[in-house]
Parts: sequence; C-alpha cells; structure tokens
Amino acid sequence: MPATFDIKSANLSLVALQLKSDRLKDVVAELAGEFGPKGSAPDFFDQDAVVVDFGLQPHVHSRTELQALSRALTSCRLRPVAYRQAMPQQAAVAHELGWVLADEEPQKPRAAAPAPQTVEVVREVEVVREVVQEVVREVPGPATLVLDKPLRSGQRVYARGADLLVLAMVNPGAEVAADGHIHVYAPLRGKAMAGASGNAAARIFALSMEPELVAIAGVYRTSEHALAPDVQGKPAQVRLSQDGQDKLIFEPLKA
Amino acid sequence: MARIIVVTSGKGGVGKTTTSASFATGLAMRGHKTAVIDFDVGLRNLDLIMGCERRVVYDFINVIQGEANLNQALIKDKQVEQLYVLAASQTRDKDALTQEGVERVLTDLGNMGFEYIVCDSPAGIETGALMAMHFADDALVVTNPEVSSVRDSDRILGMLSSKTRRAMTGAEPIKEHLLITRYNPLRVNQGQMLSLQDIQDILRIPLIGVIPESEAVLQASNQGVPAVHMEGSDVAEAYKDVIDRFMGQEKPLRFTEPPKQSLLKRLFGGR
Repeated sequence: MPATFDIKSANLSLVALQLKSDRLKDVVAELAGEFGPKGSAPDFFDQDAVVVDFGLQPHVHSRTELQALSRALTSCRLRPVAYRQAMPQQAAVAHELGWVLADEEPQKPRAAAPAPQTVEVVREVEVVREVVQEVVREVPGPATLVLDKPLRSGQRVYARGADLLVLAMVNPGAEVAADGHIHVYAPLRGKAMAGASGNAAARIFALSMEPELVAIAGVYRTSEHALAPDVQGKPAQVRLSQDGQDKLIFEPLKA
Repeated sequence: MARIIVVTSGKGGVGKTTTSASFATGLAMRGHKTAVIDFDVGLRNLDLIMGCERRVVYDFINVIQGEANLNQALIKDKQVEQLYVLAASQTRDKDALTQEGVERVLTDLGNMGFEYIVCDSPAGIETGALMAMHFADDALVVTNPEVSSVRDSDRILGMLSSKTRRAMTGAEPIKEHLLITRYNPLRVNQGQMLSLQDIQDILRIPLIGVIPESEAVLQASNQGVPAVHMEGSDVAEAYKDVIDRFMGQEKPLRFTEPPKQSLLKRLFGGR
C-alpha cells in the first residue's frame, strides 16, 4: 500500500450536451445565443463539466469543428471533458482533444432529471461506472437567493445549491428553479422547479398559487388541469409525497 | 440632454406606430422640439402614418452609415412646428443598425436642441427592438386587452429592466408607462376583452392612458395624419390626456366605461 495516497473509485455528476444536429456551426451559434456571455442566460452554468453526446451520428466532425464547439462550451462556462455515443472515427478526433470516453448512461434507480423544462440539452449522467452503489449528492446548503424584482415572461433564475426566495410576482412565461425550496411571496404564475438536482424534500410555497407548471425533483404537473379550488389562487405549498409514490401534493397554507 | 422615449410592445399590430406618431405630435404641439425615429428597418411605416412618405430622401440608416447628415435626413412636419421625422430604410437589412451608430444619432439630436426623441420600436425582440430601447429614459409599453399582447409586453418589460443601457450600467431604471390601446369597454363588460384590472394585475406598472378602440385611427392612418389631429374624436382626446400625464399632470381616466345608450337605441338595437 502506498503511504501518501489511496486510489479509490469516484463518480462525478456532469451535464450532457446531446447533439440533435450534425451542423456544429448551428449548435455553436445556438449555444452562444442561449448561454454565451451575450446570451439570454449567461450565468446558467458555473464551470460545470460536460459530456458531448454524439448520439451515434454517422457524420464525422473535423478537429477544427470540435475545437470550435469546445471553445463555445467554454464561453458558456462549461468544461468539456468527455464524449460518448461516438462513431469510431469521431472518437479518434475527440481523443485528440483530450476528451475521455464516457460510458452509456446507467439506468438510474430514481428519476432525478434536473429541471426538465429549463433546457432540453441538459441531462445528468455519471461518467465513471460505479463500484460503490451509493450515489452521493451535494446537499443544498443553507444558502438562499433572494429576488426583489418581478420575474417577467422569458426571464429565468436558478438558485444553484440554494433556496430561492422571490418577493415579487413570477409572471406567466417566467421560470424559477432552485436546488432547495422555492418561496414566492406574490402570485406564482410561471414555472417553478424546486429540488432541481433531485432533492425530493424540496417544497414550493406561494402566496397565490397559479403556476403554469410546478416540479419537484423532476416530478411535474402542468396547469392543464385546474388545481383544487382551495389551492388555486390561494396561499399554498407543493411537496412530494414521501411514500415512494412520488406524487405532488398541493396543500393550502393555513395561517 | 434630450429625453428618449421608446414606444414598444413586443407584439405587432397593437398600435406602436400610431402611438409614436400621436405622442411625438402631441409633444411638439405643446411647443417641445421633438424627433420621432422609425426603428423598423425594412418595413417602414411611420412616414406613412405621419404623411411624409413622399418626402423621404435620406433615412436613419443613411445617417448611421455616414451617407447623409442629420439635417438632410430629418423631415420637418408640415402641420406642427418643432416636429421632425427620421424615416426607416425600406431596403436595408436590420443589421445595419449598430449600437454605436444609434448612440451617435441620438447624441447629435440632443446637441441639435431636441427636447424629446421618440423611438418607434419594431415588433419582436430582435436587434431593431433592442436598439430602439437601449438608450431610452422612458418606455411607453403599448398593450392591447388580450392575453398574448399582455404576455409579450411582460417579456419586453423584462428586457427593459435587463438589456438596456440604464439596466446594464446600474443607473436609475427606465421609467415604464403602460398604455392600453384598442380598449373597448363594451366588449370588456361582455367578457371578450381583458379588463384594465386584469392587465395591470399581470404587468404592474403605472398606467399612463387608455386609448379606446375607434374607427378614427384607421381613418387617420390612411390619410397620413397622426390620430391626435382627429379633432373631436375620443382617440385624439385620449392621446392628449396621455401627453398631459407624461408631463406630470393628474388626469382622470376617460373612455373606460361603455357609453350610456339612449332608450331608443336600446330598443332598436343600435350599436
């Protein structure tokens, strides 16, 4: 046994960029528009590691093309580290860039898709195959993000590893997401996603519950079917049932 | 420094250009030197509404690209002293609008002694709309009493508070004014249109006026006369109220209740 270190198995959560088009130029442009420094959500990522999923596309991108993609990801505050589902020639090019081969996504015991409505391309995956079966999640700390200004259609906020407290209305078309709880001391009319990275104990509170969509740890409900009359437009909370059924429970807040 | 007012909405066809024309005209009628600029590059309309389309030689883009100077491009209104129009280009691409260029034109107008500059924004949330709002001090958010217009106005309000110069430099935020156009109190009462309360409940910014739905607007547009000139019409009166409120006067809202119908009209089913 070496005295100065141990080698242990570890696993890492990352986001995946699933390519839906083989035109990398378009991907680069759309990435910049969405998450780039001048995009609509420049702070969405925080130097997160990302795996590029080629989805077994037959098209082989050149080294320059992949480099351009890599630069685009970096400017979106993402760190490309791995690739998967690549054809063999593509794999060779990706290797040259120093990306490692990631395994296929293992079947997870529990749905923990973070914020499915936020971005289509984001998906969580473990790269290194597990030896230990337990999945260690970052526990959201006591941090809280407080917003005083109204969130209007098209705006979105994500409280990473924190609770989110909004003191003004969240309008239709706006999105709030948090790894912890979400409190809205005003009408909640947009989308709210609590426990975005899988915390099933997260809750959503609003002074007037009229959301387009609520989700907790990936379990969601849209406004297609009206909420119960004692909840709709009233002070209420949403939580996930803890009986393993993963049902969203809407309850009025009783003062 | 000139005060820069953007007339914006997100959604198209709600009355931005009509409002820009009447608002600018109204300011000039009160003796303020006013310029109104059409930012809708490629789809110019403002000159039609202002009735000066035959006098457009140089346009906004020409000035931005240095092909003409402001004195050549500004079209003096024939009815109101102190009112000048800067037309949009019909032939150029919207990418011809650059932030530096727009800033230079606005600064030059300020130096020429203009007190108010009204920027008529194009619909949408693309370059043209962003450029029109970027340097604004005030925003007139034009909204129709229907859901999609309210949603788009909400989106624009979000951009006003995040993507404009005042927002980016942390200066005092843009003053937002809600202007509801095409309001028909009768149809509101019948539940076909959103009410003032419904709209304000979502947007929650100060209301500067309500312009009633009226045939006078169409008539005015087709004649190339800003609606504020349609003497005796509800629309002209409502726009004048808007100017007064913009100038800081308190004015009660008008034209927000359905007109009382006479007994005869009710009996014989007049509209």
